[in-house]
Amino acid sequence: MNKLSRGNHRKVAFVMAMALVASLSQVAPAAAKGDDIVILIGEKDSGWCAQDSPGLDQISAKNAVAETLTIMNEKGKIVPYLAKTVENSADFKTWKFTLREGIYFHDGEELTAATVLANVAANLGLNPLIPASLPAIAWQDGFGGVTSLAQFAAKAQALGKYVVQFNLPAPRPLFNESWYANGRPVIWSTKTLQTKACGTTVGAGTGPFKIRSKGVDQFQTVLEANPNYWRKDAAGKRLPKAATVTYKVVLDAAQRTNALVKGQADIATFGASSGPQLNEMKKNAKLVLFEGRRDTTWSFHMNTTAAPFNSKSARLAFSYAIDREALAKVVAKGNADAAYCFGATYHPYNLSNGGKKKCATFDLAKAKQYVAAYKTETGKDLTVLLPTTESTESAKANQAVCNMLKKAGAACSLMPPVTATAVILRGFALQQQVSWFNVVAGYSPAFADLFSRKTNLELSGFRFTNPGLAACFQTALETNAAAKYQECAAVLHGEAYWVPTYNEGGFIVARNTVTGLGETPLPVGGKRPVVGLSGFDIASVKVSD
Amino acid sequence: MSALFELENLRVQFDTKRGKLHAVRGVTLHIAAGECLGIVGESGSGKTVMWRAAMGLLRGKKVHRSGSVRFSGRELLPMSAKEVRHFWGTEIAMVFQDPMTALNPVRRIGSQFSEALVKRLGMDKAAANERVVELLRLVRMPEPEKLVRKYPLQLSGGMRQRVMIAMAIACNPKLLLADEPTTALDVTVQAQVLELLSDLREKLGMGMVIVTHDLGIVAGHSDRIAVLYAGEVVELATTRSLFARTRMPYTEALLKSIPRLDGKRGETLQAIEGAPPDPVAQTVACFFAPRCRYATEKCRTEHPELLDDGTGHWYRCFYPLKAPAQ
Amino acid sequence: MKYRVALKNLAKAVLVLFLVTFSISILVRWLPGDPIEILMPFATEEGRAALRAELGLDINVVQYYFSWLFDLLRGDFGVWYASTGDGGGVPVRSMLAVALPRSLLIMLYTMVVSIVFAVPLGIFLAYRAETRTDKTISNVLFAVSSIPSFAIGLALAFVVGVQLDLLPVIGYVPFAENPSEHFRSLVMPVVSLSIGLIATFSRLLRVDMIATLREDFVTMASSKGLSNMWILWRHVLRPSSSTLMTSAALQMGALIGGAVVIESVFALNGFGMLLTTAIATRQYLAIQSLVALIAIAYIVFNLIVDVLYAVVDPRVRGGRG
Repeated sequence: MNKLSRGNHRKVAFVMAMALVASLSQVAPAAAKGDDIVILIGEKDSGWCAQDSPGLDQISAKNAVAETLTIMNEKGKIVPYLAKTVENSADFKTWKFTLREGIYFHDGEELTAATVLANVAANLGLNPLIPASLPAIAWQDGFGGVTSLAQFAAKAQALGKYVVQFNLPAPRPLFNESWYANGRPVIWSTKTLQTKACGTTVGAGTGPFKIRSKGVDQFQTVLEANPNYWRKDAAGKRLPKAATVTYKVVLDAAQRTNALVKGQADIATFGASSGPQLNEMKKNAKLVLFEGRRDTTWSFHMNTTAAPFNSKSARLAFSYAIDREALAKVVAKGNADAAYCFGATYHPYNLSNGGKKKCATFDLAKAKQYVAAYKTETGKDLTVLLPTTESTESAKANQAVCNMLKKAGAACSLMPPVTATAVILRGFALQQQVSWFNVVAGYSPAFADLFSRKTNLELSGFRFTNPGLAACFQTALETNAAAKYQECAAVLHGEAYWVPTYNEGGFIVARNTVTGLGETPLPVGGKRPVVGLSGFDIASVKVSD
Repeated sequence: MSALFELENLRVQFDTKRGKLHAVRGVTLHIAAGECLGIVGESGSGKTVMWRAAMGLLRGKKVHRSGSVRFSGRELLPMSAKEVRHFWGTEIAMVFQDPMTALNPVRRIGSQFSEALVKRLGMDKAAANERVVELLRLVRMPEPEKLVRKYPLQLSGGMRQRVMIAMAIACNPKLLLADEPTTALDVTVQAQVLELLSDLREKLGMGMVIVTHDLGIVAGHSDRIAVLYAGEVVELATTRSLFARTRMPYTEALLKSIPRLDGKRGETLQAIEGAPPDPVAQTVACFFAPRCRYATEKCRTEHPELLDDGTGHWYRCFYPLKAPAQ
Repeated sequence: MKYRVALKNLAKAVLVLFLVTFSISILVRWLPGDPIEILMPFATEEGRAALRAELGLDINVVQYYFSWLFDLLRGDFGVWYASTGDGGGVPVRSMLAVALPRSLLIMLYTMVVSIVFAVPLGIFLAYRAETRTDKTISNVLFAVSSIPSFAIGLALAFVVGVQLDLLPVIGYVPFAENPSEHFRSLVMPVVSLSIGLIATFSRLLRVDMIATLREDFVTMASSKGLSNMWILWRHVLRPSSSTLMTSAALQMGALIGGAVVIESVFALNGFGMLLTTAIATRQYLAIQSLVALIAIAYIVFNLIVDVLYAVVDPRVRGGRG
């Protein structure tokens, strides 16, 4: 008897403890299947404000809520989007954006020239009345550099309720692209800017979906349909088609695959580095794969301000040591191409002459020769430290690179995982000498230029240490002349400041019950690419039961 | 009187890394119902191994037992652990050396006491609890009702030993095996516990074996005494005869090492010099020879047999001490 | 007397909390990169200075620490920095409300499962000590305890989740929302975490039990003719459980913040992921608050184990009761 009651006490205590903890958990309303789309992405939410730097996965979510003035169509061309027309003067210094009328933000504000000016001011950190005034120039480098921002902003003006005109201090042939910049410079409502949250937890954009919950759980963002969305489908029916969209962060690519195969999710994004999973999914009849154009170049960036990569011999040794074909195979299992030149073959600055020439090559003999040359110059052995990110793919790829370097006679070791952000920040100068990033060189020389000019990193952040090259790119940017770009690219390759490895396109995998991916017509005709540089258009996406 | 418990040529060997260890080398002993036998020996003489092996407490791949152990005519050695366990508690009960360690420190006296009654005799809990109190009273424990709620560490050594004795007799065993029942207790408590054991033996009519290193302990309480050395019985006699007519030099040495209350002042206690032989090493000599002051060449080359001097006094010596005139 | 001991322990706990949080507040400042650089990697110096001032990061570390501490004492865990300053930031408390219950439940289930399986296994091994069965199983357990939990998790997800299609492979469902889905969503994570613990715990218990089996009171118990199972469970287990309990308490603390890999694999996004993200993005306030919670958890779990010791083993109680 005594024993029995004691046992019961324990049970009661256990149940009570469980109930207590369970009651702390938040209750999320369950959405009806069919109207609810679950999208798995591989990147955590670190804010959607203009000054934040989300990656492509988060941008695709961000662009479901807030939209850009211009956008890239399926042919890779920049076309007006929230703007009805974009006109420029012959000298590329005056740009006139005429906004589409009757577009409303989720909070009821109408999109006007005043809204755009508020966004410009907020993003440039120049409007003292808007507390969110923090500079976010990175994605709009076309503005002309930090120093000229103030004058520039002063010269942005409204020419009417729906017309904004920019008078630039220098020619900017690609200024329309600066307002797309892979979906980053979105237009928020004025109130959103004033609440300071600008997409951290709340935010009103013009997009097909509005935020239901975001920010508190950095691994899940739930959006619900915007009933007043301005775009219509091909038949003229209202968009979006889905009632809710849930973006779930699942960092492990294998688990994204598993969940997709099981039907726990409808759509998932993958990089080429998930090669084994992608190849597996290609065989699955229930899944449909979409690949973007292979124009994102993964490349090595070196710290040319410190040993060993302040030595040209070291840089060349590194560049020659990398067997790009092998690396693409190891990393992507056939889902990426080896990269030899800066940018895709159709770019104005691409030196491959339509793919015939290799700007950087794999040559073990030459690599060994330069390793030896480095030793002669400095009296030291060439040792390279490679940082890995959190993913197993990264470790695998870096190990492969290390092995290649070792074959060439250089020492190489892997650094413990750090986040990409940490790599960008201090890591370069403090600990590691090289790191790799994707350079989205798909369409815009300007954007690629941002990275190429800032390949060399110093403690204070991005800064270029070769003034000649910086000036070269500046001129190229202003004239947008292919010859000038090529001149700069030749220096870049000649000095091996930048080592391309492979090109990838990025993947979206959807269950075959998903319809409407990339089908929404753009207002000026055409569509967005299914897999684009700012994710994919989900306005028409629906899941059939 | 028919024998209750018989050991016939019991041998116990252990496999060790150094080779076979001979712990018990052919011991033959008989205990009659109601009789009290004292088994005396130094530590390492094999006395504890002997009774533990006989009981079947010591078993395993590395333990080799041979000979015969019979309880009420039933052979125990070939029995499985499960079968022999059937005898434990109800037929043969044991009292252990150290009451500090032989009681489970984390369980209340009552629960570790009554479990045997419930499990072995099939009593219900209430009846078992009543019986526990009764038994505790029998071993003269004060306030037994309170005692059952206590933990062993809340009792003194003497009390614990009494509790243990009470536990041992709980299922009315026919034989009580007490291994150094008083070693861990101080002298006055020793006497009380021994008195209690004798008392209980008489009341319950149990046979009893007291295993000890101290001849003095068994002197007043046993009917017969067996002296063990190096795994052998070296002298076996009635208590009276053993003390009065000691034949073994080893027993003599043991006697001299006992402090006596009537000892003369200034008389020094004599420790036995040297150590018992290595149980792994084989020798043909008398095992005690290296430590024996009477040893001759013969003692070092031949092994003496256990002999009866005609009065039922057995000894294992070529040159036994002369029996004093009675 | 007892109050004095309690007071002394409380003082100790407070001191530990202070030292842990204070040193972490210093340590995080030594990490390269500060939150401003992470929030606005491409901003101008002026912009950074403005945000730094806005977030209060321009005051010195000690001052900053104490202002956090006083906030904490008022129940304010601070804000999660955002590039827009405090106002755009999310209170750490609301993030905890999502993450902490998950981690506590995962920890609780893992402990229950581990102990439930480890105890009989440990007992069995101790009972069969040094036999071939014991050696084989012990070696297997040793091997198992060195398999990383995420490997087990991924294997489970593939076989049980995808091939057999029995359980969801990602996500967490709150108990209140759907109890059966709640348990289904946690089966694989809990099993992944438990397998290593079962191996560790059963090995610990085995060793302690083998030692206890040599005790006189075990011989005494068997001399009463009690069955082996009875002796093992009723006599040997309790006095052999102190190492197991200590280890369990440490594991409980470790599981709250340290199940990050499993949280990541199964997209559970509990406390561990929150802490990892906080460290990666230099969320000083959040790091301090989360670390303080972990320290409190360790202290509380150790306290619970101390109490349990006393329940299990009266020798620990000291006084006569």
